[in-house]
Amino acid sequence: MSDYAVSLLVRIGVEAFVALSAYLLLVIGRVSFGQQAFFVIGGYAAGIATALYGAPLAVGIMVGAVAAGVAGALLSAVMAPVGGIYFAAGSLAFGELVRVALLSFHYQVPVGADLTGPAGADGFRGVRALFTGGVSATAFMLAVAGLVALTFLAIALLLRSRWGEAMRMVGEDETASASLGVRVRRVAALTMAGAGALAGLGGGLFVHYATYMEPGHSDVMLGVHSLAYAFIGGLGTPLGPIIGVALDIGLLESFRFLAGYRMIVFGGLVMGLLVVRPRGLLDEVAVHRLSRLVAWGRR
Amino acid sequence: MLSVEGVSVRFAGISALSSVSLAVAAGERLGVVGPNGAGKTTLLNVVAGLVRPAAGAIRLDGRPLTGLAPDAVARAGVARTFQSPRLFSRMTVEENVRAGRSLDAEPWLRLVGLLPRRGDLAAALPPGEARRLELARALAGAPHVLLLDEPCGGLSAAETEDIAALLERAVTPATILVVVEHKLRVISRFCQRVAVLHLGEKIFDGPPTALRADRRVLDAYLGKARAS
Repeated sequence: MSDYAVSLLVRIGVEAFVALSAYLLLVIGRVSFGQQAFFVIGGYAAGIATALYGAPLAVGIMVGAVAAGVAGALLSAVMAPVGGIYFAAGSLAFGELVRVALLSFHYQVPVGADLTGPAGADGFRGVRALFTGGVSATAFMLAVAGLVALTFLAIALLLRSRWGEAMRMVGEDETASASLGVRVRRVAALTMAGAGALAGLGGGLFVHYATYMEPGHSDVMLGVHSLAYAFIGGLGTPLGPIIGVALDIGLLESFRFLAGYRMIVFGGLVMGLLVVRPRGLLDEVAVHRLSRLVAWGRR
Repeated sequence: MLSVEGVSVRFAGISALSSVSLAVAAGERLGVVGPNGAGKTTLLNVVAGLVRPAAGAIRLDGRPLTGLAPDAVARAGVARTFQSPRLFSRMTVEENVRAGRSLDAEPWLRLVGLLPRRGDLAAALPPGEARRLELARALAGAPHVLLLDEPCGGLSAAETEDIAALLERAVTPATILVVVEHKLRVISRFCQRVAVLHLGEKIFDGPPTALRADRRVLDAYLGKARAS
């Protein structure tokens, strides 16, 4: 497999985590423009763990996910009771807050002969645990693909559980959910923490593959894309956002003749889909029909 | 015993309920009627914790419910339906009855005649079936108090008869039932007592048979001149 194909698949995998993160919040009816913040929090935390403190790669990536999950939990203390346009605006503000904060975040320590660590606007370079550990790009790509598959399965099972039912109820009607005993704020808070951890996992994987991360990675466009991925692929299944990422990065970016027009095609695709299929290709109705078809086929 | 003690509710300075008191014993079925804007739904909302009263208290078996969040009120044993059914349209009929709770939906679906539709999305149900599904969802938690907001609203005569018969079958003898309903025929059929609200005040509390002879009720519904 070519280096280009491997890097494309790693990028699809990494962005799938941010898309799944935005998807989880959409399940509970929250539109977030700020999941990119958790992506960089996870990336910086994972990088600090491995590059500055010598943690093994897997531990570093876990540290990134946990740090972003904690950030999500902390943010939920303010944002969990908020919905609608206020949540969207608040999440956007949080994303920008993190981006601006990272511009002045300096935390460098001597590692060997060099100073390593976050250096404000210059970003965080020299996160080399993947390569010093002797992990090939292909092996890393396969590991990322495996993690995406596991995450998809875990979310699919979660959404079928009682807890998942409560999440979907909250996403449709908070008043009716509360009247049935669902602790709406708790569901929202834990989902925000979980969504943060997922985006942070993506950040931890990215920073080790790219060997760097910078405040610009918290740009709002990543948040907008991650939302769009869910809306393209569909909100009826966690496969939806993964399909959305694959459609955008895998198809549009890999067609060279689209160079320079990708964002126009992507924007048009999103707008067109929102008109004809407001909840994406694999919306709840489509998934319901497909699952019935599968059940009928098994008989 | 469900006690509503001197409850007042104001919205932006306008009184929606004014010092309303009611007591409904275990097993008792209370109908609540009144013209539009009388405060009937507000009364249910305040009991269910969706609206905080400006004054007064609500107790269930002596335990205060006032100020509790709606989910805590629900866990205390209070279930409700809404004026327009609020189903989870993107979830299946069975999931709507289960509603994130640890219970078997099947007996409740059988009770309301929706077992064959258990796998359908709730969005596909016609209004009569949607009402029955919402009722099954409220009954499924085996509530101590059941608040029904116009369970026959917008239904045909045949569908109203179905719901009325269903309620008679489904509501257990120990359940405290409070029904807001415009159709007096439904109230008369299974409520021992009826309370009439008018402009946020309780103007009548007694047996349904005495309702049509009460001067204040006639004034409220027909206006003073026509009532006389």
